[in-house]
Amino acid sequence: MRKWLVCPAAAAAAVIVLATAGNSGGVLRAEGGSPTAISASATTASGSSVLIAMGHLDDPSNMFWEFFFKSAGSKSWVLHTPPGVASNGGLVLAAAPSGSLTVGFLISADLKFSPVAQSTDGGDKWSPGELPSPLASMPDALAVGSSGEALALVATADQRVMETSGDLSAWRTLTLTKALRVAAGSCGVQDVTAVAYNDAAEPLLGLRCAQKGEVGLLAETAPSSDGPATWRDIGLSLGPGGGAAVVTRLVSTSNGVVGLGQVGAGKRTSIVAFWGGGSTDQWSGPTPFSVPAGWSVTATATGGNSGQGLAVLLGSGARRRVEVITGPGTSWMTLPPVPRDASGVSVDGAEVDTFVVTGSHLAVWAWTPGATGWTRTASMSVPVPYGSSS
Amino acid sequence: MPGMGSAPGAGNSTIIHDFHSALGRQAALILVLLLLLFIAWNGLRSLQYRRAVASGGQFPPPRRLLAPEPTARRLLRIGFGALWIIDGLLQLQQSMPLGLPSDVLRPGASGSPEWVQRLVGFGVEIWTRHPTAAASSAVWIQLGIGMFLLVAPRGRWSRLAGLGSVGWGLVVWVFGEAFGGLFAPGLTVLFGAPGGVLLYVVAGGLLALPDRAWIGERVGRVIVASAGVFLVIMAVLQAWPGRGFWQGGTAAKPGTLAGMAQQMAATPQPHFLSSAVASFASFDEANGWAVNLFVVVALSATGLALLSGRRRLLSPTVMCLMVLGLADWVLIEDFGVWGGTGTDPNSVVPLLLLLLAGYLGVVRAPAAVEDAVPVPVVTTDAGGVARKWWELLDSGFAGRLAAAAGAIAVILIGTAPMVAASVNSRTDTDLVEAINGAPQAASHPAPNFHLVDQHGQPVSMTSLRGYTVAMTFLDPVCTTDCPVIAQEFKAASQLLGSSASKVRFVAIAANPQYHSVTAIDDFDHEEGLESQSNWLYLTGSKSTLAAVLRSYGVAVANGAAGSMTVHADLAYVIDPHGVTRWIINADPGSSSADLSSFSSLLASQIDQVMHS
Repeated sequence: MRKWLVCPAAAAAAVIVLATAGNSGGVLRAEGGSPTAISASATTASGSSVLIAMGHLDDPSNMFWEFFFKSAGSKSWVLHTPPGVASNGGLVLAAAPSGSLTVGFLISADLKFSPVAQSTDGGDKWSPGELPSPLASMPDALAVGSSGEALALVATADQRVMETSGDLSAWRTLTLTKALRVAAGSCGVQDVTAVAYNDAAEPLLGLRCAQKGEVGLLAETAPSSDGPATWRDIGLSLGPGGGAAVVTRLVSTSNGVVGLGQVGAGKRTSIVAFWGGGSTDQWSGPTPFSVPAGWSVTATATGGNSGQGLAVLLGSGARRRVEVITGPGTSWMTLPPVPRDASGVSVDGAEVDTFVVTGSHLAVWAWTPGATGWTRTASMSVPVPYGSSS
Repeated sequence: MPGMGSAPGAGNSTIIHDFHSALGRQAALILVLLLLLFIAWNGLRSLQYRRAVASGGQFPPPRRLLAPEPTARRLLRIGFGALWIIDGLLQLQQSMPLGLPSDVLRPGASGSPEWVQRLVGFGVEIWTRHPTAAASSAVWIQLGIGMFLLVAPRGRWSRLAGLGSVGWGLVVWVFGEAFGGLFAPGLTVLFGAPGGVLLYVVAGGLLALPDRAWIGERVGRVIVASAGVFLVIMAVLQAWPGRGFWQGGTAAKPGTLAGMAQQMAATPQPHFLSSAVASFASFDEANGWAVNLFVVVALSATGLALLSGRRRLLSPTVMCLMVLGLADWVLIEDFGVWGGTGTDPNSVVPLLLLLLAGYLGVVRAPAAVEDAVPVPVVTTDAGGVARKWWELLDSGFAGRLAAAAGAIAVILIGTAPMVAASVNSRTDTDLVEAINGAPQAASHPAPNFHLVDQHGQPVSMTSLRGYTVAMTFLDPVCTTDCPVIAQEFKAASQLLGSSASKVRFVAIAANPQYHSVTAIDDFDHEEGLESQSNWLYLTGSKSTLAAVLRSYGVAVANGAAGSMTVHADLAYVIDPHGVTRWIINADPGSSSADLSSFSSLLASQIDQVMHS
């Protein structure tokens, strides 16, 4: 090759090879998303509620979250999704011990704030409200107290907790995450992940901790003549060898507060349950079970037995299973293999329901204590409004 | 209707009609210009005849003796002239105005780095905002360049045609081909690297060289050696591990080459062609390693043979590349012209043309002496009077000059709308009319109402007298159309400039469940409307709102199972006397171009009402 050809040829070769080789080995960076699933269920004295994603589950504009309610004593689930807002972004449920139900809409498409709806009759009629910010995508991002007061965890840049005394259109900021770091010094607060009221009707926050060995929990001490409101650390120790924990559920029941945490230590993940009044650091538990490698939590349910029971649906692909625990002092129990593709779970007394979605079709499978398998108890078609959100 | 946001498809009849109309107007203008040029040419001939008769001179003037155009240059000029004409004709396909950005430009850039996507996005934005102007421009520019190359064989006009090819080729290579995928993974000569149009640029550059550059074998050798370097680089890339060419495919996913061929086979085209491409894809899927080995060996061997500079290797190598190139063109590139938005015959044909030109430049190089012979020109008539320049023009040269001027006129007629489109901030209104139809004229009084605005202040239609009112119905918790329509209203206000102070942009809450002042205030905050002084978002009790909606003929209903509230997307333009003048279907479409097209239409209708 002539000398004068060498330089441009070498330069062209270098540019092309580098440009191409540089693009051929892209590495996806893992996003630090929520470890929780928002498919959730709660049972109170008035009945059981469950949130289930339906429609085309791989297409956000054609996936709609639905709210189903089963009155106490009834065997039938009824569709009662609050009207007037597209539910593609997801729903968050707060079931007050008093029986009122509050549902928050997660943002989707061009909606940037979260409408809420409240019902006192199991979802027949809903009263609207608006949270001026986007509700966080956590199963317990919303909590309602016995007098109608409410807490909401919002996903603003400066993640904050908002509260209202009862008017769901008039919210004010209760605290910012960054303001909690001193109060929960041993936790190393990363995020607030759940809100609830404790048995003294004080706001109670569940946290994601950077420090290992502690389930982060903060309760608010109401303002008094001695000073403004403060937060007190009532976290739960996981003992030696405990990993970093995140509170995934925190629910007020008529028998106190029930919580679930997810603990990661190396490649191992475990789920822990805990119970208490939520006013002090006196907790029962933690009672753990180990999550098989590669599995994740798909749905959770609270309110079993006397309100203190919990159920967790977990799995990977077609392999799913349900773990239940009836209350403090008991152990997790694995139920018989659940129907393929179950995507929701609800616990009512000692009975457990799972939900299998196929497009706009919902099948309910029930397990009763002592049974060796699941029985299909209901099947319904839901008028999923395909195409309405694209 | 919220949730029903639609986009005009590539086959939208309104846009196709507008495209054809624009082409028709431009074709008429071109015909007139060509006719004028013909008249000018004929006039010149008449003048020459009269002058010759008067001065006893020769008519027609003798043809100037010019050195013949080198074979290699002629091949490049005619070959690439023909390719530009084919490309221009392909731009006539009716899917081009709307289909090119969505089916060609965006997908072509999707694998490239963000800066490339942003750059291409700039071109896409212009095209999508002015689809008919852009598509018709591309037709005439390419036809014009092709004609220019064909009619100007020698001299500065011919070199100018080459430069035209370079200029437009670069525009197409950057915005149309995203640099030929040079910065994207999967770059391979088999599938068009480094972009067919870059080869048009190279050919244009060669044609722009001075005539003396073509004397001897130099140009031919440079072309051949460059082709050799290119093929060796392509061989290295083809052999580079981890790029997916050594794997035919797995059960779940075809390899890179098989995937490309499968994609081409899925393009609408005659069955026998798609089945041939699909057969190759299957063959590659089953024998990926062997196919790639053959490709790597073929590319390296031919590349090294060309680089060696040995004359006896040249003919067999070129023959070999012709055969392999044509196989690639048929079986992998699939001719490059199918699917309704095929813009050119891809890279193999221009590559082979360049290679052949290089070959001819070596084996049929013109001797230096040919260009050195001075051309005798008689510059005085029989009486010794100096002849004017136009008297010296022979008919062939004058004809070519007129044809070249015609080609330049075609290019300029194509360029003008493209330039106008790129500096026009208002999107063509035909986009939104393609979705919603034309605005409907009206002349009835706008029904009165008594509502409150986002600040809780009472507002009635009567209180808005004196202002031109643009009004619509919006659901404050809608996730799709309503926020978009609000943005369209905001953009229309900006387009009106200072006149916007005489306009009130009004929305009325259209959700039976969520219509509190808090809800509409949250909506205004979300959409950045709280600071827009001419924006009013009105609400009232459920029954009052229902009555207002009824009076305007707007039906609203809550859907079931998680759907948003359903209502008609309508916009009303009401004059300062309270008379409804226009009703516009406000479906916002699905792209930013549709959105700004609606804003342009709304601003234009408001303008019209304000000045009527």
